[in-house]
Amino acid sequence: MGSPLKKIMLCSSEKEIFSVEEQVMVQHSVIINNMIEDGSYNYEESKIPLDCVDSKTLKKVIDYCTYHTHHHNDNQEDLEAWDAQFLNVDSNGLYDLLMAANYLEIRNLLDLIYRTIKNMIKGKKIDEIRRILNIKDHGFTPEEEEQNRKEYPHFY
Amino acid sequence: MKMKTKNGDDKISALSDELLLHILSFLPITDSVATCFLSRRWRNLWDRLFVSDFDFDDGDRQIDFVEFVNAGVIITRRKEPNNICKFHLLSTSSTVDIQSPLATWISAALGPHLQEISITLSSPCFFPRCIFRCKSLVSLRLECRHMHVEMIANAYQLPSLKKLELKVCSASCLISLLLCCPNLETLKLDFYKGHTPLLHIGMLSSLKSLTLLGLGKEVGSITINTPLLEHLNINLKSTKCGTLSVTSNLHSLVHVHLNIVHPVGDVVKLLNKLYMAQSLSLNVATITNFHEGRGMEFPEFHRLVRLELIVNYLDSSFVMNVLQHCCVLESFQIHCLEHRRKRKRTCWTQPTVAPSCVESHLKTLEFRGYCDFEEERTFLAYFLERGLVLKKMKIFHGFRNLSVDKKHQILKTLCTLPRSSNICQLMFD
Repeated sequence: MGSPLKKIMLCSSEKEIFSVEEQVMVQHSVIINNMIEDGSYNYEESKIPLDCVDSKTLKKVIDYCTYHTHHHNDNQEDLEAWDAQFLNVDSNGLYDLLMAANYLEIRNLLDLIYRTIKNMIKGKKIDEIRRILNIKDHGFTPEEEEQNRKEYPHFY
Repeated sequence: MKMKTKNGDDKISALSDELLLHILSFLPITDSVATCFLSRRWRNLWDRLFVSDFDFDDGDRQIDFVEFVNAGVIITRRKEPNNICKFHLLSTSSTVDIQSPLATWISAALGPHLQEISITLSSPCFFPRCIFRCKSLVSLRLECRHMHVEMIANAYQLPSLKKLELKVCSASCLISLLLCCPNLETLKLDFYKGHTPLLHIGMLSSLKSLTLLGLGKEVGSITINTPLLEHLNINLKSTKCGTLSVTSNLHSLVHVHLNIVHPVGDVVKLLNKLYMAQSLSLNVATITNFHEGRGMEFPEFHRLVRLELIVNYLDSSFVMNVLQHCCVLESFQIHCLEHRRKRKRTCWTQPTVAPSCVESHLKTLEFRGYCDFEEERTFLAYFLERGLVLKKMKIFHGFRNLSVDKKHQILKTLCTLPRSSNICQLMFD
């Protein structure tokens, strides 16, 4: 655990630099925790390049980690409400967050996103899920699609 | 790390197979089945999905029965071999016909990975034979108003089965069933409303936990021959019960819970076989029976640490007699059930020899249904005075209404009783 005052630098795919409290990232990201622990991060010079995370997404990830570091004692309901608000993004935004959380290995954020995607599918009809996930080309031949619709109409 | 999105803006579908399969694994079967119609990409994923739970519960109204039937059909059509671990089916509706799709579902779920089957049906049903031939099955639970199992000698084999739970069953099929489970550890039988003419639970050398429940009109004779048993729970409230006997010594016994109405001779014989128990709970009917057979000796329980007696009213000489036979008892709970006015009154007589556990081992005493009769008060006073190692005495009153004043008064009286143990806490509520 680093001291709460120490800052580390994160660099987005647009080369924008974000300065974050070290503890915030260490607590949530397995990757950054490992970097700090094995001494490969130099506080004077290094910035951690995150080539696959754009600035908008990185800002959100940092928001998530910061909030959960400072509010981990809040009651579960409040945290869940905050999480729900936080993930109120379209499916592409969700995808970007998922990729970032996966890369940085932020486990609780990953679980949260998995659950959100699960709920996008659960209990819904095919046409609705296609709309939510933005599936425009299903790749079935018209005959296959017609047969599926005929055979399992309640799914659509 | 880079992902190319094939379908323009559909980035979720472009996630790696591993991630998507992981997400799919959270979904109930009827939802994950649906994803195979989303697109070619999802269809391919579905074919590779490790379907671990085949779950249908019509209590959850979101799932339609037809959808579930179809899920079964779609699963059977999968190219990949099935790797289903659990099969759960709960249907409380008596209008749908489960019989015909059941065989389809079970055959869909059967495979080398199937470990758990749990089926609860309210309509009568024939269980497909293949269930009883599943070699990987670890846990099997069947509940059905009228259960039919076609029995064919030596046709069944459940070598991995550790846990078997059945509600309603004809005894003849049960015995043959037990014979094909050589490694069974937990057995729970609920006779429900059916009746079992004769039952011998024997030759189960691996059995560790046995539960027998029966609230039906009639339960036949039961013999128990299970040398390694650790937990025994018998709850037979049937008005017509045959004999209940244990024929092996139960040296590993830990917990015993008895709630039976059998003749007192049987109960004494039964208790004599349970003398190794460390924890014993006896309910009303058992004790009333015991009680009435005065002169019958309560067996010596030399390992008993925890005792719970549920009685209609306190008969202190009976209780003291029981305690005489539990030399290492640490925790004692007594629960008086009858309403104050209905209680028979007996008198306190100072025991000639004090039960040894009271002075040396008894740490907690709990009295539920306390009505402040003199006998009850003297009884508690005895423990407070003699209990050298007593740590806690909890008393819960059995009055319907108790005013604050009266409550305070009772507590005050109890608090003035002399105590031998200076760490003893008294609680009254």
